Amino acid sequence: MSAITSTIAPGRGRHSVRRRHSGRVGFRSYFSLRSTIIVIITLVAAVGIAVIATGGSYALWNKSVPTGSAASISSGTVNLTVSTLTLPTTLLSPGLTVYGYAAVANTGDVALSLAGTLSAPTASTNFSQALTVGFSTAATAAACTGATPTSTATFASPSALTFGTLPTTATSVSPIYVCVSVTLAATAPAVAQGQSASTFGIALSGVQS
Amino acid sequence: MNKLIKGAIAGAAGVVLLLGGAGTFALWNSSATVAGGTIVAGDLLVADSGTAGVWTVNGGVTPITLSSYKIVPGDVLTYTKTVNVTASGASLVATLGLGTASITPTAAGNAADVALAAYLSANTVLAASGASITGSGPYTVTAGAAGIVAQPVVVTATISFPKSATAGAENGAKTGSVSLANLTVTLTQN
Repeated sequence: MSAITSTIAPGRGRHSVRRRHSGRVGFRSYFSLRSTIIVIITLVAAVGIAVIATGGSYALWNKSVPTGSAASISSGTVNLTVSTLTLPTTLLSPGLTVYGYAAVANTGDVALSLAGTLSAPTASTNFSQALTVGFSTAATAAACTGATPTSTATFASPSALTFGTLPTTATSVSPIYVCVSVTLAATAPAVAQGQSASTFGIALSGVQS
Repeated sequence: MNKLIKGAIAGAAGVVLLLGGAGTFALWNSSATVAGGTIVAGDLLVADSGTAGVWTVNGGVTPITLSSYKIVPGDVLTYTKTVNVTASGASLVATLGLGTASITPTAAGNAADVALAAYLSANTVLAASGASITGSGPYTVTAGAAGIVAQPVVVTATISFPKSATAGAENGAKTGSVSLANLTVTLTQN
């Protein structure tokens, strides 16, 4: 920016017009122009923002309608109940089998695949190691006496047990019976006499078929 | 200052005074009215046909009463409903689909409801068929030059409850409940 010099009163000296307005006038003019440009830019931006802000909406058309379907969907559940295993108190001798049963009910909403695992007695003895436990199912408790096992396991080698499908028709009123037989091996050692096998158990589980 | 300069200054001042005075200095202009026609907007509408929808389960044809049905893992519920579609506008193309958040927990604080809603929402699919429908998902409605007026479209919402090979994987959704109050069919312009 070139300096502006006054020609009205050239004057001389430190406070002459010429000297008063020369460099400092140019300096002011530079900032005046710069300020003007800044103001212009600000105004343009403000107008632009205002235009954008007041431009209105430009949504695409859309429409929806309720399907009028039912209000809700509810989920079911599964529930397996097992009664206490009832075994006779008959003393076992080699080759003898005793029979018992547990009532099993399915009070859920789906059929279950019934399975189980045999848990060994708290204390392993020669007697417990000579036992074979058999399993089957029956429609009545009475049918468990003398029933042929469909699967067997021993405390020495417990294996996974399967009992087939437990339908939802097996209710608490009309359960299915898991038949349990316990046989002392004919080859049980003599030292097994007088021993016992207590607190053994059968864990049953039902998985949706 | 000599007379010539004085005269020039006076003349310039006079011109400035004249220019600064009141009055307009508009350029010449002219206007005329151009008669136009009438512009009419098109339409996009989906409406209930008035015929009740039908629920079936696991591919069966016998309708079920959903309020008394308990869904379990592996079940596939199907809801079939007819809606009427109207679309006019030569360049109008729209997509037919299910509204967002169509399946919600009945009680937002109930863990089983939330779990069930998550399973079912993630496994809900819409199908549509009708003279005005194209595509196999997404489904498109094209108005065309002639437009579509109350065209029946059969929509089918298939809701599946997944069944994992891992026993107990869906246990968290037992005895849950979900609301279908927001199950809507939507048409959205492309």
